[in-house]
Amino acid sequence: MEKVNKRVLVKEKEKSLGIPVFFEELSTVGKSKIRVDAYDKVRGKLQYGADLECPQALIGKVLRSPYPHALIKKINIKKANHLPGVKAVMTAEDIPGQNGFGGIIPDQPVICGDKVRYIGDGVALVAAETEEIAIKALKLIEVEYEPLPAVFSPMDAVRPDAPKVHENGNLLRIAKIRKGNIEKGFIESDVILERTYTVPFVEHAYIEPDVTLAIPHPDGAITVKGPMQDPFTVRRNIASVLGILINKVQCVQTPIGGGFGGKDDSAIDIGTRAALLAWKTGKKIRMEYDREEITLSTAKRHPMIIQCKIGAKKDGTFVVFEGMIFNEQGAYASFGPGGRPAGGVHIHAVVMLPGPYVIPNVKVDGYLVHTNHPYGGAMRGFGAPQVNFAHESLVDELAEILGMDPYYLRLKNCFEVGSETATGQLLNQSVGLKDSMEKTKEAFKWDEKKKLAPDQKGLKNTEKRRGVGMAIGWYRTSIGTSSDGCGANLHLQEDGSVLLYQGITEMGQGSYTVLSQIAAEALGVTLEDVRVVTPDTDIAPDSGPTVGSRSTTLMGNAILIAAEVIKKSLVESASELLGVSTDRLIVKDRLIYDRDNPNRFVDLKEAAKQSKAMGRRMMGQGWYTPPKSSLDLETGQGSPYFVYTYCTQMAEVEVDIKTGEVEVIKIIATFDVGKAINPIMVEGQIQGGIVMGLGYALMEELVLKEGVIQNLNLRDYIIPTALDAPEIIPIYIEHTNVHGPFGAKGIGEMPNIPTAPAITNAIANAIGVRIYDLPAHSERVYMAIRRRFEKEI
Amino acid sequence: MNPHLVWSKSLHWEKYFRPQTIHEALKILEQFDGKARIIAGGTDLLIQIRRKEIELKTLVDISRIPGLDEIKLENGLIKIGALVTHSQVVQSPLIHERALALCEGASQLGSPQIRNLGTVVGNVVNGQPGADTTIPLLALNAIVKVARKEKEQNIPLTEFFIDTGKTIVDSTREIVTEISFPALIEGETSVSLRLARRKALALPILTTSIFISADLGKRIFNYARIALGPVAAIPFRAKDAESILISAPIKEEVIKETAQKAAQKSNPRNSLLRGGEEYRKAMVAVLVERGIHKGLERLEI
Amino acid sequence: MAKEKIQLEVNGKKFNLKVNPDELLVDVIRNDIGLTGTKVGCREGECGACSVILNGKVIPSCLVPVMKADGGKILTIEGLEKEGELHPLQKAFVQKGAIQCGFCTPGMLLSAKNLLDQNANPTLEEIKIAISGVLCRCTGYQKIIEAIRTASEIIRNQRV
Repeated sequence: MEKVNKRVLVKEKEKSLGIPVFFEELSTVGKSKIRVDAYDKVRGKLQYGADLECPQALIGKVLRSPYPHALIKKINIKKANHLPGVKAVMTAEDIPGQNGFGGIIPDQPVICGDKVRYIGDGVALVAAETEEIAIKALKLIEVEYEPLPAVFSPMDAVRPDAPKVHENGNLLRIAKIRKGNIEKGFIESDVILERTYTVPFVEHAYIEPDVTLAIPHPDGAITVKGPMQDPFTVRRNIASVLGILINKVQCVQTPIGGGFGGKDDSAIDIGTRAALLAWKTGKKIRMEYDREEITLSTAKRHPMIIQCKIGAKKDGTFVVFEGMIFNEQGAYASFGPGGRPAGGVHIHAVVMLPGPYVIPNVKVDGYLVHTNHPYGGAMRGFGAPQVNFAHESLVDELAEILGMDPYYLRLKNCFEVGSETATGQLLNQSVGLKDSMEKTKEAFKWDEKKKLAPDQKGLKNTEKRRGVGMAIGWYRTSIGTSSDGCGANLHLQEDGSVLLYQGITEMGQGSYTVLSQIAAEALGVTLEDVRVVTPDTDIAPDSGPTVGSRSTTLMGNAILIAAEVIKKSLVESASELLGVSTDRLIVKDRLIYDRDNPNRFVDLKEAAKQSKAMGRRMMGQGWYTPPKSSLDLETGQGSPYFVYTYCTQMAEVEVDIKTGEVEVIKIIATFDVGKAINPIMVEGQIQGGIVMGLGYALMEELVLKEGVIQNLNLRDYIIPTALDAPEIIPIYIEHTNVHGPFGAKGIGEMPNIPTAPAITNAIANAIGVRIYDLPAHSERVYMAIRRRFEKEI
Repeated sequence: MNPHLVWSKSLHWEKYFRPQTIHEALKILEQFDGKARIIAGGTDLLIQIRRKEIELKTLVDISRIPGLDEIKLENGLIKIGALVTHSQVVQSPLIHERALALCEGASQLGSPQIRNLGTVVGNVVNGQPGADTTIPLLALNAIVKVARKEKEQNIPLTEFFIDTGKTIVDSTREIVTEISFPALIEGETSVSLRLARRKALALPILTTSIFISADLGKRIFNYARIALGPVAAIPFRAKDAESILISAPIKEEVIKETAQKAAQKSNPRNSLLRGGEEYRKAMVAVLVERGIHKGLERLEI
Repeated sequence: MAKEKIQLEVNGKKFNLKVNPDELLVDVIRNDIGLTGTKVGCREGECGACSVILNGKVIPSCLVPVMKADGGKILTIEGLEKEGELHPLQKAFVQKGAIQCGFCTPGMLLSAKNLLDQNANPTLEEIKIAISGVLCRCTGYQKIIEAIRTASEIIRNQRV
């Protein structure tokens, strides 16, 4: 047993929690602990949704519309119903509750009744004894469609004569920023640059396919198990679709094999459909989506057309920014529009478009538009990767025009503590952006490498050209809605072990481990003493969704609050045992000791036993709501998200000027994460996110023709393989977030945000050609080279 | 495309035979009169069945027939049996030394998993115009041995393809047992180059294989074979371009002219997923030029 | 459909099974034998999650009819550990943070094992090629490559 010799000073800081948050020497937090599920995963023992045994479960399947836009005139299910082995065939009229599901607005029919709005829309559900029978039944369902004219681009969809995807018209949301006076700004500018950027639909491509198990209970309640990023929203949707009370629905998360925002949406989709079949048949239902089905029907990253215009003084000071976003929502709302005031992809994109720069005059108009395409939903970055590509490409090109190094142009204008954003938010703490730039520049040897970059005035005779590029970014922690908040329950046992009941899901990012580390540190136990109870809506307090990079920060805070409640009782018991007053006691490393005389201590276990013996509280609940979000609908002014993470990424590429192929040699990136709760996991998030960003930059796009997806499977929807991934050196810095546990803020999404422009800016540096549309695959790069250097190739 | 937008786990064949000899295999095929089909590695076939491109009730698995998994050198010919996998080719010192283009082509296909399972012959019989082993074999002037009923026939690879996905072999009645080609000798070299959207698990935008015979002393090309795909409905030999190299001096202009001619005679489709017509044609010129240079490097010219 | 009798040796243990002739190796391993460590991701041999080692070669088990594998020797992820002791690759993956969602982990481990069984001292490029058939969306591959490198060192030292 180790005796603590040093005094551990507990620093009290003024924060929204009103509880001590910092320790000078941390035992668990800040250490690269082995993740709590590592061994189960590495041994192949962990049971994912598809591994769960469910004998005698019926198989559920969805009949999907082959038309992008059509009326359903007639549907005949007689033949299908009579097929032996079929236990249920459901159409829209069979739905007991509301025929609609969705993350925010339940506008997507669980089963379409009058019309279909994209290829893949659900038209009937079947439950049968085997998959084979279910598929045969699907083919026996006769549907008479009347195809309607369809609309496939947001520019077409906003025209007055455009086919209406929904009754209320195709324009779903408008979001704006109005700050200062842009006309004046443009007059004051010495240089003005205007560009249009486009980015495509991309796919999450999580390797674990969607799957769900729905188990009905005799009392009308239902349990649904599966990989879901937000069991609480799934629950709410199922209750509404079945027309039953929320407390009759239990949603249990199974380990998630990759989510990236996708399983925020898809779990609602597959969950409500399986639940319906379970309700109808009274039997267990198992539903799995094939890879093609997932690509066909589930949410994507919103494609955007982004027009932006920036004005600056000749010394590089930014004066004015004007932007317009055509944001393609697709067939249904999903997470495009969001909860008030600043939720949803659309508003987030609008807020992020001006970039992490101080600009006195800003005007942004964002139009969120329905089309007859698959729909945009939550995907890692939530609108930021799209707009970051635009502003980082724009600023980079502006630097060229001004004759300035793009690093110094950014440094001159970017955020620091005390800056005001385009929405008028004062960033009064935790802004490590400039520090991240300096650290990256040093590690990357930016100045040296920039000098070596070849003369861009004309392509010389070498076939491969190297170039370097950079991009910076900012990203919110939290979802920006008034409902953002979450709770955790901690239960200390008399042997010093702890149960953590909470609803943040584990999809590989390491939430179980990080949250356990926070709980362990707060309670003075070790990581091994804490066990996370699988998120289960019957047991865990509402935690909100595992999105928006909010998990560590918001849930971490809730855990700290919960821990304080238990600590009070522990300390009281220890005080009794030691005869030392409670204000002198420190709880740390499984011991409780006198801060003035560390040799007077008691095992935490003993104190826990004493608490139990004395009937003291062993359980604590913490509820945390972040600082209130605000954003005016008309002016876009306010403080939509209470803290931001910042990063800088620098990339070195080699371009084959004859073929247009781009190879990324190396990426170095620095992230201000507030506090790295688990450093090796932070590195993993950085490297993984950057490779996802590389895919966005160079190879990923959903190819659509007349509403038909051409690349449904993983052969044709391509994501980076190990041979495509470069060396990635991740660096993190810690600019304490006073609103975060131990100073932490989010990390999950930031990594894949500025990667694409870092790469396309490097391409520009290598060959003197700008790419304005993603992905920058070899054909696009080649054509751009040819257009610019027609004679030289 | 799949009209019902539904995919299934079961692949629905009813009978699976595993004959021990070619003779037995042919008999089973005959018995099923067009309703049964050969499976060797199965990497292409199973996907086609799953996507409903083929309906199949009976499979005849030849992977247990002895003697078909060998790579041999006989009378100056390299002979590759029907069961030889891509991995075997990649790891074969013989092919590395005497037919490098085939090694290169096979190594770029799919992934280690696919290469361990898929066969070279299977890749050829699948009849895709850009198949990664077909193109080098075309440049190597390969001959296909087809077993039919009681006979065996040798067919030049240049006469093997009819249309995209269609060869003169009827896999419900005949079996390709071997592919062979002359092993390269002194003064001969071969190269395979490829362009794709990512570095593994990718179908090619363009694949080219070039065989060169040159007289090092006189610094002239004797002749060459240039194979390309997918630039036509079937794997393509750029014969017009090849003719430029016959007894031609080894000079930059000659190489450029050859490359341009190959591009001129290519007719690639516009593919939404793997490149437009204009780009692919331009790349033919680039890859052919590079391929010839690389070949010359290998000959140390 | 009449069932066929087959035998598979999986992780050193012999299984006598009755299967439908159209079943795929991955489904037999997962459902009939009950070893769910091998995953299904795409059913087209593209993602590598179904990788197992069959007769000494790593293959995509979603593309192998079980009838073809009949009589074969198979190693799945569950067979990597020996009597509760993890394989050096498994230990390295854990130590190096090479696991996030874990879905690609079985495929990665078996691809790496197949590599190290044939090549005790692989270069960086050889490691990348060996795992190029398994798609990972979480890690960016860096830590997986480091883990394989570390494990190869440990195994080499063990053999000395």
